[in-house]
Amino acid sequence: MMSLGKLITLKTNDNEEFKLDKTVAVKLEIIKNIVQDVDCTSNVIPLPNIDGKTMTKVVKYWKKHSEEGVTEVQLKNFDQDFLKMSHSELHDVHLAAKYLDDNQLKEVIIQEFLDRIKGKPIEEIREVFGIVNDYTPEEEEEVRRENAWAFE
Amino acid sequence: MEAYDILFPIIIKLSVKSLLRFQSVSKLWNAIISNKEFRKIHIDQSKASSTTKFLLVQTNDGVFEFRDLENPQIIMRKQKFPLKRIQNPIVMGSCDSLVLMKTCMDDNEFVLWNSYTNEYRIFVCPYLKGMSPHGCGLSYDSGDDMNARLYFL
Repeated sequence: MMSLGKLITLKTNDNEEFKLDKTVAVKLEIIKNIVQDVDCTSNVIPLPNIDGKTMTKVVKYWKKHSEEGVTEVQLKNFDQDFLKMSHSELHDVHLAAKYLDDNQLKEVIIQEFLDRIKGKPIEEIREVFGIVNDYTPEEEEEVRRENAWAFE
Repeated sequence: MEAYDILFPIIIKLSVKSLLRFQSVSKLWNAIISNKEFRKIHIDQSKASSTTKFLLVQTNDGVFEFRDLENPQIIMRKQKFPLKRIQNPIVMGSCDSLVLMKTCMDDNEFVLWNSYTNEYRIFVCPYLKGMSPHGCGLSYDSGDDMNARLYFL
């Protein structure tokens, strides 16, 4: 039986610690699995792939979304605000959500990426994903010509 | 491949038109988007999520209109067949974005056109031996966006 009010400590790769209510933390597959294996209330769960800055964002998201009595509208507004981050920060949160196996957060991030690239010029797409154009101008022209109608 | 793992769930949700455009983002994107397995998953996913049925209308100036079957006044897409030589082909059948057409010049020459990707194949039906078919049909073969089962009577 899970008891309420127990805290779990998550430790990021830059040694920042996050104390989370167990009921919030065990929503995540990866943490649930660790908690099931050992009694983690006294221990610290290390997150070797996530830094403190990113984890701060993730925890903020979790806390808001597990708040009691929070309305749909409030969550929508929160998400809108939450997603106001740079492209690279968005990538970091995406990676963290992937590592933590948090499907809800993953979906939110993917949708944000889609919104950021839909209908945008190729140059902006490269910016969003931090991609260096490895085509020569001739090669790029060739690929564009093949799909010319898609650029109309 | 980490970059692939991150990109995949995002770009799998893009429309075909966006995907074709985004092939020029980088060589990696081009490789992912051109990948046969990726295309298969993309087709299956968009078929599962889309409920719109098309009505194909061919206009006099050789333009194909894909209209919403439920609301035919809404034109979802307009497209011209890319090959200049074949300007007013006779449509024999269609299935999703695939259109089976016959060229006017030669009775036994057929064109299979994927109107989404704008790819096409021209071929001769080996069974008809110069005769016009009484009827044609096609069904979709999942696994390849240019792979259809064709039926000739």
